[in-house]
Amino acid sequence: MDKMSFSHHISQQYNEELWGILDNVMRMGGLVEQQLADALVALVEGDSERGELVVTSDYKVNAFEVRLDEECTHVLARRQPAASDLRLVIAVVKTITDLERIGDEAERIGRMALHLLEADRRRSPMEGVAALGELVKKMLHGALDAFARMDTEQAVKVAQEDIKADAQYEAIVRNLMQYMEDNPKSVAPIMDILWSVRSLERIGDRSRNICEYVVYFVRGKDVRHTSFEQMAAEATGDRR
Amino acid sequence: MAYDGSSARGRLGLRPMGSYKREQTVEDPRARQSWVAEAGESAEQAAGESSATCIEVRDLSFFYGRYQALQAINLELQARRVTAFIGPSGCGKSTLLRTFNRIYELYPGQYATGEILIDGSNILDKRQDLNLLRARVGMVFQKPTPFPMSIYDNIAFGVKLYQRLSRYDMDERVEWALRKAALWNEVKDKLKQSGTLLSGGQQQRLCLARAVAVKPEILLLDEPASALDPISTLKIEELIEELKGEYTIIIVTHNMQQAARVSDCTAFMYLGRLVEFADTDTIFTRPREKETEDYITGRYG
Repeated sequence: MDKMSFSHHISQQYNEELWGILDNVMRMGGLVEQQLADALVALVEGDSERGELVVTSDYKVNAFEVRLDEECTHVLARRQPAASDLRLVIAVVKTITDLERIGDEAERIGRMALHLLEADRRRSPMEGVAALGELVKKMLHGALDAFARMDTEQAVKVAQEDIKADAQYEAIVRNLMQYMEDNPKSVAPIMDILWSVRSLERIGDRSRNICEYVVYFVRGKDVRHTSFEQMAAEATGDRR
Repeated sequence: MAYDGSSARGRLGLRPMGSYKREQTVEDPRARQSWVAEAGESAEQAAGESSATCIEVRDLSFFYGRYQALQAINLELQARRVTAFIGPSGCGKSTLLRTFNRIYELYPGQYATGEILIDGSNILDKRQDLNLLRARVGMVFQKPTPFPMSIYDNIAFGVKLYQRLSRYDMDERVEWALRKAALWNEVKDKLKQSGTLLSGGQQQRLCLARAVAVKPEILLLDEPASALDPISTLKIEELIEELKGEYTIIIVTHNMQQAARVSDCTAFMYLGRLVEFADTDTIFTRPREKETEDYITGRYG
């Protein structure tokens, strides 16, 4: 984000508070990205160390959420933010909720990966999982990048990737169901994979949410629960 | 306050629950869009009864001698709404307010050009009866200005200028005005006491009672709470909320949160120009103009 746009308040302290909040959102985002990356390594490559790491690190994400909520409450109570400042605080409060939930999904994937290691991996069809993982990792990164730069065009692009993620998710689920029919004994490990891809799909959705908050902040328009076309129109259209 | 669903809904501009079209599902995003739009529409309809234009300002310029303080202002204010004028010192917001009852004419060398239509007639017209105008357009100033006389007479004085009332009717009017200003319970036992002995907050409510007593259509409030403590300020704001059902209220305030709290519409002025005029929610969440944004967020202009 253009640091300058939050540095023009007459109150220097206010500038620093807002900038501190944004800084923490970015740090929280970086941590969540790392959690997701580790969870994917654990899931796809069967790395138990990474899996453990993800599960034991989730508290850090939670701590960020609590701290940022407190900082936002402080600004609301003390500064009575208006206009773009108000929209920023609202967008942050919503973004960190989604980031925390992405952290939870990463933790779940880590747990499922550890579970899977106990089972016979040859009976665990991972086809397409790595690709979906890479896609939602890219989406999360893109969403955070759009947030950092408050770039609505990128936000729209990233949000549209969710269509791809949903399609890949459905293909994997179809594939897994077929596999279960053919191999009734492998239902348990497949359920773990199913939960994991479900988590990946949710991370895609939540990354899309973050993109919507970017449009809300920049344009003042709430584009949740609208079509991609409407979102794109609001993101690029004339503000007036 | 007792919970009363219907009136709360009315205040929020919502239509009674039953009239929403229940059969519409919200699954299709487009259906939801129209549902949302419909809810918005109904808010407008609910407000519709009070949205008649009360004051229409056309190309209004104002001069303090050679200095031009207002630059061709155009503005339509709606009846029975609270409109706030905000802007930095010297932006012309008080000047604009003072044109609505031509109180500037007390000072030589000050004049306005353009038109101000109140219910369709131009009050800047030379033939306008000023006493009548000021009975229709009441004003309360920043500093409480009680007359040096009893609380009772503070209120009766103005009424006597316009109306001949019996002793009984006058008593009633005084009580009515004091009740409107939420001051009655505090002063009913000392109506003969001098108004200047009241506290600042009480004095300001006395001035509001005095303005209301002549039953004006429009109330002009020039920084009515800036000299008051926070509790008195909230009482004044509560009064504004109560009074807006019957009066068109225009308030000039330096306190942006106050404007955000009490007003339906907000006008932002800067250097004698009207920069932006919109409903208060819009001004405080997504103003159109950068100048407005910079001012309400406390940034350098």
